[in-house]
Amino acid sequence: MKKKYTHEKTREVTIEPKKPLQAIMDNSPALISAKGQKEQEIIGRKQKKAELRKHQDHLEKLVATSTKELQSANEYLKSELEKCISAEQKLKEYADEIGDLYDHSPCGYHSLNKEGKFIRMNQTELSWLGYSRDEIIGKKTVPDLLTPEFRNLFKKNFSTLKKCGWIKDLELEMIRKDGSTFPVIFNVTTIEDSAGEFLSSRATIFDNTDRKRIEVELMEVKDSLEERVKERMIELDLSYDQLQIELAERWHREAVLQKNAEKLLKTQRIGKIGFIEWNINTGEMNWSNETYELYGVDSKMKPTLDLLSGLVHPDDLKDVQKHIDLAVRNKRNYNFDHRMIRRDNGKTIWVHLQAELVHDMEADSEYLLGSVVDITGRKRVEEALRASEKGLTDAQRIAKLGNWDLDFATNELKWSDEIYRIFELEPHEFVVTYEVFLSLVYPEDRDLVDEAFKSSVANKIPYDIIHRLLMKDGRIKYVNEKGETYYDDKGNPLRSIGTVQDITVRELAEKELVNYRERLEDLVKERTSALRTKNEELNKSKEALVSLLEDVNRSKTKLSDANVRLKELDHLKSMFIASMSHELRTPLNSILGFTGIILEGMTGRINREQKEQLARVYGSAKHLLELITEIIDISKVEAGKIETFVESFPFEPIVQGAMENMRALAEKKGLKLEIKIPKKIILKTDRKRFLQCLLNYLSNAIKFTEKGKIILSANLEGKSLKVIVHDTGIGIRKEDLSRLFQSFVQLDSLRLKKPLGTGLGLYLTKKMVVEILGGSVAVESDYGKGSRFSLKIPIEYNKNTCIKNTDQ
Amino acid sequence: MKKTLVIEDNEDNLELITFILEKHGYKILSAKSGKKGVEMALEKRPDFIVLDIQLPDMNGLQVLEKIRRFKDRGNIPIIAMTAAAMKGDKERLLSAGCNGYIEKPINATVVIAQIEEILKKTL
Repeated sequence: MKKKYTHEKTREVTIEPKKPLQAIMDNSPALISAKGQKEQEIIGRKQKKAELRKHQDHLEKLVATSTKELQSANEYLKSELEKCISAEQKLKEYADEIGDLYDHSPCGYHSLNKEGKFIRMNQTELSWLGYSRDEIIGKKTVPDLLTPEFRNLFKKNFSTLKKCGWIKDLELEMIRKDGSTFPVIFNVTTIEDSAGEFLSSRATIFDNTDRKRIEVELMEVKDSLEERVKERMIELDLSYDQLQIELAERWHREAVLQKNAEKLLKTQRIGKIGFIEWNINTGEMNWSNETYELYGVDSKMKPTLDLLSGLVHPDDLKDVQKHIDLAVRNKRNYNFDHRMIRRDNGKTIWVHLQAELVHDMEADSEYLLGSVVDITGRKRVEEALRASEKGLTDAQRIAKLGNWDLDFATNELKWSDEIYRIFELEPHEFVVTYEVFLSLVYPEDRDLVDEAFKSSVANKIPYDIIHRLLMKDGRIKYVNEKGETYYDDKGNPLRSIGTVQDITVRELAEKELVNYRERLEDLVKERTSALRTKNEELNKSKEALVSLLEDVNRSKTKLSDANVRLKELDHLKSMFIASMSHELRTPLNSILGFTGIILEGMTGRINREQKEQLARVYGSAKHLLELITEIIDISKVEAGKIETFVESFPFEPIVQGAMENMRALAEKKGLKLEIKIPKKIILKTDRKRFLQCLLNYLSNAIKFTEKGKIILSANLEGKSLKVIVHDTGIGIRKEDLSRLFQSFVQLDSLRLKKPLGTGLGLYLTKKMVVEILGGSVAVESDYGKGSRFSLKIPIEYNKNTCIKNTDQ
Repeated sequence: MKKTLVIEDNEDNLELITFILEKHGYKILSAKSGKKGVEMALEKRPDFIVLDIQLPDMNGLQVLEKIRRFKDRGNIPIIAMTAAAMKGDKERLLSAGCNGYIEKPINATVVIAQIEEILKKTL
C-alpha cells in the first residue's frame, strides 16, 4: 500500500512538464501568417517565393532558437525532477517512520469520521481489542466496543466533543473480541474544515488496567489501615484512662511524699538533724540543708568524702574512718559521737552520727544513709557534770571533807568516799550505821558527839562540833562535824545530812602556830627596839644632811652673788681704767707737747746731747701714751662701751691709706711694702676699727721684720673678706702661736731685745675683729722665716656674728 | 692779728697751745671752764675758738651748743680738741657743729697746719 501511494505521486509529477511545449507549438504567430500567404499566390509568385524563403529562413532561425530554449528548459526540468525524487524519498522515509510510530506506540490511536465510524486505528489498539483492521475500519463505532454501562457516557461526551473540540481523561471500559473488558482513558480532539465544520475526531487511548488494579489494592490497604487505626485508638483510649488513674495516684503519693519530706525537713531543722546520703559505689554524696548548716559549710559546695573528712576533728578522724569501714564491711548500723570543726568559724562541735547501710535494688548501689545531730550542748553539760563530780570528789579529797546521809527509817548511813578515807576504812566494806560511826569516835568524845547530834535532831537546830577520832593504830584525828536534819509534816525526823572534815593538820598547825606566834612576838620586840635605835641614828644623819644642804645652798647663793659682784667689779674696773687712762694721758700730752716744742727748737737752741736726751724723753712718753691708749681701747671694748659705727666704703683706699701711714716706718728699716688685693670691693662695716686692725698688723709686721718685705694681700671668701699681712720677719715658735692673741704677751724670744710693743696690740686687734667687726683672726708662722697674720670679716656687717666678751 | 679763745682746764695744755699759737702770731684769750669760756666767747668776740672737749664743769658739746645759740656771732668757728681719739668722736663733734677737730697730743708743727687748714675752709 505504501509503494502504490508513492508511484501515483511520481506519475502526476512527470506529466506536467509537457504542457508548456505544446502551447508554444500551437500558438506560434509565424505559422499562422504562413497559411494566409498560399491564397495570395496569384499576385506574385516570385515575390512570394522570396518572401517565403525569407520566412523560411526566419522560421528556421526561430526553430533553432526554440529548440535551444527547449533543450535548456528540458535540462532544468530534469534537475528539478531529480530534486523532487530525492524529496519524495525523504518524505517516504518520514512517512514510514511516522506510520511505524503510529502503529506501535504504547497507547492506542484511532480516528472517527462524521458518522462515528472508525476510519483509522493503530496496531496497538487493534491488538488490545483482538480485532483485525478489516473488522473495525468502516464497520464498527466506538460504542460497539464499550461495555453497556459506558456507552451512554460516551455518547454524551461525544456530543459535547463536537461543540468544544476536545475530551480529556475520560474513563471508559472497552470490550475485547473475546468479550473480556478492560478500563481505558480517552483523550479526544476534533478535526474541522476551514468553515469550522466537524470532519473527524482523533483519539488517544491508554490501557487503565494496571492503574485500576493499584487503585483497588490501595483501597484495600487503606481499609485495613483504617481498621487498625481504629483498633489502636481504642487501645490508646484504654491505656490513657489507665495512665490518668496511675498519674492521679502518683500525684497523690508524691504530694504525700512531699508533705512527709517537708515534715522531715522541718523536724530535722527543729531537731538540728542533718541528713547525709553517701553512695558507696559512686562516692556521690548528698547533704541536707541542715547538714550544711551544722558543718558551717556553704551550701553551694559539693559534698564529698574528702570535704567531710576534712571537717572531722583530727583527733577523731581515725575513729570515724574505722566506724565507717566497719559499717560498710559488716553492713552494720553505726552510731557514734565525734567532734567536727565547723568550716565557717572553726569552732569545735560534737555531733552524733547515726548511719545505716541501704541497698538500692534498682540502682544496684549501696547507700550509707545517716543523720547528724549537734550534741555539743549535751556534751558540754555532760562534761560539766563530769567535771563537777570530779571536782566535788577532788574538792572533798583536797579538803578532806566527806558527806554523809542518815536515813531514820532504815537507820542506814551513807558515806562519801572521803569519809571512808578519813576513817581509814575500805569503802563499802560494811554497812555503816550511826552506832558504827560512834564506835570510831575517840572514847572521851563519844558522849559529846552523841549529845550534840541528838539535841540537834530534837531541837531542829544544825550542829557544828569538833571532836577526835581514834584510829586502829591508836593515832588521833581531829574532825569538824556538821549536820542538819529534815522532818516530815508531823515533825518526825526523816533524814540527817552532814559533813565530816579532817582538820587534824589544821588543829596541829594551829597549836604549832600558837607556839610560833609567841616566839615571833619576842622576836618582834627585839627587832623593834633595834630598829628604834637605828631610826634615831638615821634621823640625826638626816638632820645633819639637811643642814649641810642648807650650807651648800647658802654657799651657792653667796657664790652667785659673788659672781654678779665680780662681773660688776670687772665692769667697774674697765670703767675705772677707761677714765683713769684719760687722766693719765693728759699729763703725757703736755710732756709730749712741750718736749716737742723744745725739740723743734721753738724755745731756742739746744745742744746735741740735750736733743738726744730729750728725744728719749719724747720716745718714752710716746710709748707710754700708746700703752695708755690701748688700755683705754681694751677697757672700752671690755666695758661694752664701744658703739659700732657702720658705713659703706671702698676697700682699696683704706689699704692704700694704711700703707701710706706705715711707709715712713718701713723705709726707715729698709723694708718694702707690697699690696696684692682685688679691686672694687666695697665694705660695709666699722671703717675706723677696721683701719686700726690693719695698722696694728702692719706695725707689728714692721716691728718684727729686719729685712725683706711686708705684703698685704686680700681675697673674697664667700660673703667674707680675708686680709693677710705677710712678713719675712723672725717668725713665731709653734708653741707660742696659741698665746699670741692674749693680753700682755711679750714672747720670751722678743724680750731679749728692747720691748717693741705694748703687748696689747694683737689682743686688742682680736677683740675688735671678733667683737666689733664680727670676724675672726688667725696666724701662721715659720719660725725664722716669717709670719702671716690674717683677719676675716663679713663684707657686710652683721650684728649676729659679733661675739661679745670673749677671752675675759 | 687773729684773736683766739682757748677753752682748756689743764694749765699745761693751755700753756702749750697758747705758746704754739702765739709763736705763730695769734692773740690768745683763755678760759679754764666751760662757763667762763661761754662768757668770754660772748664778751671778747674772738675770731675763733679752740675748745677742749673734757672740761670740769660742763661737757665741751654743751659749751658748743650754748655758743651756737648766740644771736650774734653764733657761727664763730670752733675747733674741737680732744684726747678721746676713739672712733665716732670726730663724727659726733662735727655733726654737733664743730668746724674742725684736732687730736692730743699736740704736735707743734702739725697743729698749726691743721688749724690754718680749718680756718681757711670756714672764714
